[in-house]
This record gives sequence, C-alpha cells and structure tokens, in this order.
Amino acid sequence: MTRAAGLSVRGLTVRFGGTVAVDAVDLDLSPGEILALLGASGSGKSSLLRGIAGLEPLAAGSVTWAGEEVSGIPVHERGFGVMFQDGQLFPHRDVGGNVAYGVHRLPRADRDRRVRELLDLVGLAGYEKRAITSLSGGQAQRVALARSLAPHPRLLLLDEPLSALDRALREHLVGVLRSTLKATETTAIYVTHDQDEAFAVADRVAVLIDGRIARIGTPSDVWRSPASPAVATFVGYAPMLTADQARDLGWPLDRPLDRELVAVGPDGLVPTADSRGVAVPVREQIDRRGYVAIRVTLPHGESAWVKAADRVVEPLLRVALDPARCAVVAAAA
Amino acid sequence: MTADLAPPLPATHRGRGRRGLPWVWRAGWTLAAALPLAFLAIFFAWPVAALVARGFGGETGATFGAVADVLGSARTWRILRTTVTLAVLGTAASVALGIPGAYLLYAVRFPGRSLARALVTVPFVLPTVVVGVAWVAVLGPSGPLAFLGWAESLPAIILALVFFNYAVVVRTVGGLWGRLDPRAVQAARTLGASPARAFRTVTLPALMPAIASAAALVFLFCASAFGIIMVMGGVRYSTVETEIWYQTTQLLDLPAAAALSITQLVVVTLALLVTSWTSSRNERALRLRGDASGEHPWAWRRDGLATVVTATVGLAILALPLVTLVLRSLRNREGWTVEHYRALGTTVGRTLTVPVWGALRNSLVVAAEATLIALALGVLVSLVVSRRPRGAGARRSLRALDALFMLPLGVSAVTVGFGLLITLNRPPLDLRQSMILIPIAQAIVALPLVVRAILPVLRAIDPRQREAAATLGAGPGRILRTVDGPFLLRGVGLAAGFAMATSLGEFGATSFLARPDRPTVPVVIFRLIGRPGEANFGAALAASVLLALLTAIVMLLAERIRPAEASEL
Repeated sequence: MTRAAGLSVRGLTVRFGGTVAVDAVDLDLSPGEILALLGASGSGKSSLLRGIAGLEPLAAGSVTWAGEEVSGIPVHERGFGVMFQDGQLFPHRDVGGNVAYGVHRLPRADRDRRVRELLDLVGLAGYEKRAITSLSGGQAQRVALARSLAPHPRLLLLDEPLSALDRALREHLVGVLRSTLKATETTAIYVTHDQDEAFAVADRVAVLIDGRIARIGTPSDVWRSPASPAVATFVGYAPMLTADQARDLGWPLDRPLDRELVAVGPDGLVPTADSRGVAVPVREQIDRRGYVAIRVTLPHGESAWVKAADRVVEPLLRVALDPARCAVVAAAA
Repeated sequence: MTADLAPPLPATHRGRGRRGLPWVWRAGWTLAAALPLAFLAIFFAWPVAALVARGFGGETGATFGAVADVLGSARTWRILRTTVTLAVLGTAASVALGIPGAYLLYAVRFPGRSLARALVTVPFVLPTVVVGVAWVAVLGPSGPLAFLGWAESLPAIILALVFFNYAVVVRTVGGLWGRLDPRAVQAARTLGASPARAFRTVTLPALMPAIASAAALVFLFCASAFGIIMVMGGVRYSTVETEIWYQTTQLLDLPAAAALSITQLVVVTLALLVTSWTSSRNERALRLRGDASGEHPWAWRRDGLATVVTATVGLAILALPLVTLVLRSLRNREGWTVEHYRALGTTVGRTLTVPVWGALRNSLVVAAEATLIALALGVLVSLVVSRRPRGAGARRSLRALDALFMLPLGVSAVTVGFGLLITLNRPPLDLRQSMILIPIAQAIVALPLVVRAILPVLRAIDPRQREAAATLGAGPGRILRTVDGPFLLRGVGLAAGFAMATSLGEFGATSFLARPDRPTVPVVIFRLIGRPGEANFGAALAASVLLALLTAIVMLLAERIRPAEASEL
C-alpha cells in the first residue's frame, strides 16, 4: 500500500456486543474528493462514519490520514469534522457563537471574519445574532454546515445531514452542500440512505450492504454496472430477469448472457409496437407528473412498471426491454 | 482555502488508549466520584452501620437480643401499625387529591396558572415543625376547626401529611401530564372510545409510572415523617421515627432505638427500590414526549370537577393552616398584637436558652454551610452520574452510584443524627463539640434533593452535543465547560434552593446534634410548643411564620432561576 495523500481506511470493523455493524471495510479518499456512503438503515453506514471520526471504538482496523495513523488520536485532536443529522447546534449560543465554536483560539477579528465568510457561503449572511430556536430546519442545517467547516477540518463527515428535512428543501440543499464543499475544497464523506442525494452530491458513491462495501465507483459507473443484484436493487433496478426471461422480452440475441441477470432500470421496460415485444396483462395505472405508470405482470410472474404517455384502454400491453436502460449483473453465487 | 487557519494537529501518534480518556481525566473523574463517596461513607454509612451493629448487641458479640426484645413487645407492634397506617392513608389521600391537581395545573391552560403552581409548592418546602404548628393552630383549642375535636387525632395527622406531600404528586404527575402527546387520546376517541374510556385506557397507563413513583416517594416521606408527628401526635400517636427519638433521648435505651432504626431501614429500603425502579421507567417514558403540547385551554364542562376538587384542597388543606398560622401569631386573648413577635427577641420567659433571633442566626449560618457542602457534593455526583460510558460495567456502576446517593432520602434523618452522635464522639473523629456535625447531617439529608434537581438537567443534554463539540476540536475540559456548564448553572439555582430550604427546616437529625446553647429555629419552635402557656404557643407561632417566610423567600428566588426541564421533585 502506498502512502495515500488523503484518507485511508483498512479493515475497519465496528462491533456492538455480538453484532458486527461494520465488517472489515477498506476505503480510500483523495484530498478534495466527496464520497457518498449509500446504504439502507442498519447497513452500518453511520457506524462506519462514527468509527472514522473516533466517536465509536474500532474492534479492528486502521484509519490513516496522509499515511499517519489517527485511530489513537482523540476525537478533538483529529481534525475530522462531523455534521450531524439534526445539526446538534448548541442551544445556549447564537448562530455566530455556534459557528465560532471550533475557531475560538483565533484572534477576535479573524474569528468574526471567518464566521461572516462561512455564513455568507451557506447563504445566511447577517444571521450572527440570531437565536438557534428561531431558525427553520433548513437554516439550522446550513448553520451546522458552516459550524463544521469553520475550523477547516481535514475531512468532513456528514451523517444524513438532510434526512430530517422535507423533499423540496432537501433537493435544494443538496446543491448548496455540494457547491459549498467544492468551494472550500473539503474532503468529505456523505452518509445517506437516499439514492438521488448520494448521486447528486458525490464524486464517488460507495454502496454499503450489511456492513460491507458492495460497490464503489463514480455515480455513473455504479448506475451503469451495479455489479450485483443486491446493489442493483438498492439503487433502483427492478425486477431482475434471468437470461431466458430477458430473451422472451426482446433482449438482443447478439448480447449473450452467461449465467448473468438483467436488472431492469426505471425506463428499462418500454411499450412497443414491433414484434420484439410481448403482450402482458395490465394490473394498475397511476398518473404521475408527465407520464402514466403502468404495472404489468411479466410472463414469468414478476411485476414490473412501464412508463407510457397516456393511460391504456386494452387489457394487454405490448412491452419490450430497452437494453440501453438495463444493467447486466452477475447472479448471486 | 487558507491553510494557516487550520487547527494545530498532533504530529505524532499519542500514546494513549484507543477508546479512553487521557489518564488525567480518568483520575479527575475517579476523584469526582470518590470524594462524595468518602463523605457518604464517613458521615452516613459508618454511622448507620454502627447503629445496626449496636442493635445486634455490639461489643458483646452478635446477638439478636435487642432486636428480638423490641420486636417482641406489643408497644413496637402498635407503633409499627400506626406508622404503616399513617403512611398508607397519607399516601392514598395525597395521590387521590393530587391527580386532579396535576391535571388542572399542568394539562390545562388558564390565567394565573404559574402562580397557582408556585403556591401549591410552598407547603412541600415548609419545615415540618411549622406544618405541625400550623395544624395545631387550626385544630387545637380556640382554632377555627377546634369544634371537630380532631386535635391529636389520626385525621389531623393525615391532613398534615397531605398538606406536605400534595406538591410531590402534583409536580411529578403533572410534569408528565403536560407533555403527553394529545394525539394518543385523539386516536382513541376516533376509534370510538368515550372520554372516560380514553382516560382509563390511554392517559392513565401513560401516567402510571409517574403516579407510582410519586406514591412511592410520598410513602417514604410519610413513613419517616418526624416533625409533624412530634408536634401533632401528642402522647397517643407515635411512629417508628418518633419512637427512636423517644428511646434515645428520653429512655436512653440505645439498643432498642437501634433495633427500631434497623426495622425502619428495611421497610424504607424496600420502598426506595420501588421508587428507583419506577422513576427510571418514568424517565424513559418522558424522553418520548415533546413540548407542552398536551395542554388545552380551560373549559367548565371538561375541567369543572378537577377545578372544584383542586380549589377545595387549595383552600381547606393548603391555605387554611397557613392563614390561621399568620392570623393567630398576631392575636392574643385581648385581640390583635405583635407581642409574640416582640417575644422573639427574648428567651420567652426563660423557656429558651437563647432568643429566637439568635437561633435564627444559627439556622442561617448552618444552612449556608450545609448548602455549600450539599451543592459541592451534589454537583460532583450529578456530573459523574450523567456520564455515558461505553462499558456495561461502567454503566452499571453509575446506576449503582445514582441509587446510593438516593439512600439518605430513605434513611430517616433521626437515624442519621443518632448514628452520627454515637460514632463521631470519639477519636479518630470527635466532632461532637464542633458545630460542623449539624451542617454535615443536613447536607446528607439535602443531597438527594440536590442531585434530583441537577441530574435531570444534565441528562437532558443530547450526548451528540458533546460529540459535536469534540469534532469541532474541543477537549474534555472545554466540553465540560461549554456544553455541560450552561445546563449545570441552570440546575444549580434550584438545587441551592432545595438544599437551603431543607437545611432551614431540618429537625430530625438536628434535634440530636444541636447543642442546647446553639439551637436552630425548628429546635426552638419544638421546645416552645412543648411548653404550656399562651406566651410559649404565641412565640412558637411567630417563629413558625418567620421560618416559613424565610423558606418561601429562598424557594421563590430559586424558582426564578429554574430551568425549563422539570426537576424530578
């Protein structure tokens, strides 16, 4: 192993009593990179984050920054910042006092300037004197972001920072987060269970399943080749089709499948007029914004969703696979 | 990005354990736990243990002679029966009357509510001797309710116990009631439950932990009531607590007194175990609730009954004795007078060794010392117990420590005073001649209340607040100062009030330890009320008013700096 410039995690294991929450995870992060740790609840993503921060003791493994082992260094001397899910702002300090907390050793003028700079950055200029209780949920999270960035953490760990907020605000703040992290050239690990959020914020995405990293890569790599049925399912492919089933639905003969599965993407099954397709029974139709989602039963019994411009009146709908919008994954061993 | 602002980072891997604190902090926390423990061991455990040893024969080897003698006498069983009867009836009445009060004062919004809450709390902090004197003024000869013939009777004592403990039920149950999520009841109603059924099946089960914990606490207070029984019981009613005092100071039968203390210790430990069990369930339940969303505005149809019950209790049980006390302190046979107050500057016809004003000075000095001791120890205990260590063993030790410091609540003050008297009267520690034993004993009595006032405030801190501070570069010292500190300050005000009020009114332990020439006010009041004559009774009334006023002022000041988080008392 070479001396990486950024974060290097080897064999990191976190146990709670008899349960293994994080199982020998390896992870590398170069300076300035944003990695999203994507996983369902209980997948161990928060434990991994807390293990790196030093908030959870490691059962095994090492965490190094620029080749230097940090797992013996107490949390407050590590220089790793954490942004918590519910902000954890200090209620007895005002906004400015919260942001200044990590830079209290700076001379007053520098400290005030740093606070102003960061509040500017997160779009809350002039909020210094506001009480924490007067902030909305989105404002509180932006203050929490400013506070965790103020001391220039070598690494910022974000633990589901937006999951307590409503959807529209979340989509807006994902953009604020990414641009802020990039503007400050902050190296960051972003834990979330929300696929859209992970793909939108990160340079690379790691999918965590049962305490192990099942897939890691750029968002488009992970999307195009999820590599395993579990990852494919988690990022939003359904259903998984065997080679025979896929061929019945018009999978091209020039792309042979060798004990592999076809993961059908959100637009992987399309209504078709040509002979490639199969007529399948329509079970349910739901109006969405701009299209109609139609649930059909495939020849082998699985349910699948098809997008159409309008509702269909016939009981049968002719559908076929769009290979460009499907992924091929290795069948589970 | 300006790298020059980055915090200094350690260049090398520091030699310290992977999970733990540096040794300085370990040592600090150990000391913070050890100091109060040592205090408790020397001034509480040792005296109580010595007392137990004396009950079992002490120097002549282990015998069950004294215990057997005491348990064999019909007098003991009569006293035990009286004690349990009083405690059970006092608890039942307090809970039955307190629940409507808890509802009205915490789940219903109306103008003047916070004043009503404060007034209801006054009796709880009043010195027990004052409570006794006030009821004697109501029910005794020429009192407004003298025609009932209840002087020195069971109902009178129970009324006084309700007077004293009503606030415990109202505050404990009300604190939870005001924060119950109203949607649970709404859900029950939409499922077809009548208001009565919704109360029985949803609200009552949710309140049960608080009710049980309040009942256990009230039972404890009733079973170890001393001042009230001493003043109101006369010769007909004595409880284990007063009997210990009687055996020690009047008959000088120490083994018998020790045997009684042991009996009481057993009963009270059982009650305490129930309390700690239920209050830990209560705490868990509380964490689930939000703000004061369980409140609704007052409406006659829904809240009428609770209002009538609470107003009746407030006027007839809480206000009547206090008003009577004040009025009668200003009257003699001829009419209105301030002669009783003027008598406070004298020894009241040589009944006393010092004037009441002198006793007041003693009381204030002792209370200040006791408050300082109790606060110092209570803050240490609360800080230690509010930590959340990872190890299951460490967590268990903290729970044990928490329970340990609640013990003085259950062990009667008389036992503590008596124990101190027989252990710290010879080398290596001979403190009998020094006045310091009184504040020490009072601090022991006040310590559980101090911890109960501070601990919930510290426990309310989300542990991730400390984590957030650590990830921002704050070391253990700065976390303690900037995260725990502001909360601690809010709890300390209330704790100081409790400690001061407890100390000012403390009678059980002080009656053993106070030297005749340096009495405190409760001791003086008891002496005055025990002597015949209008002058003595009048001076007792005036001194009681004075002491009540002083305690009320102390508590009012403490309430002003009271935190939003409810104390457990």
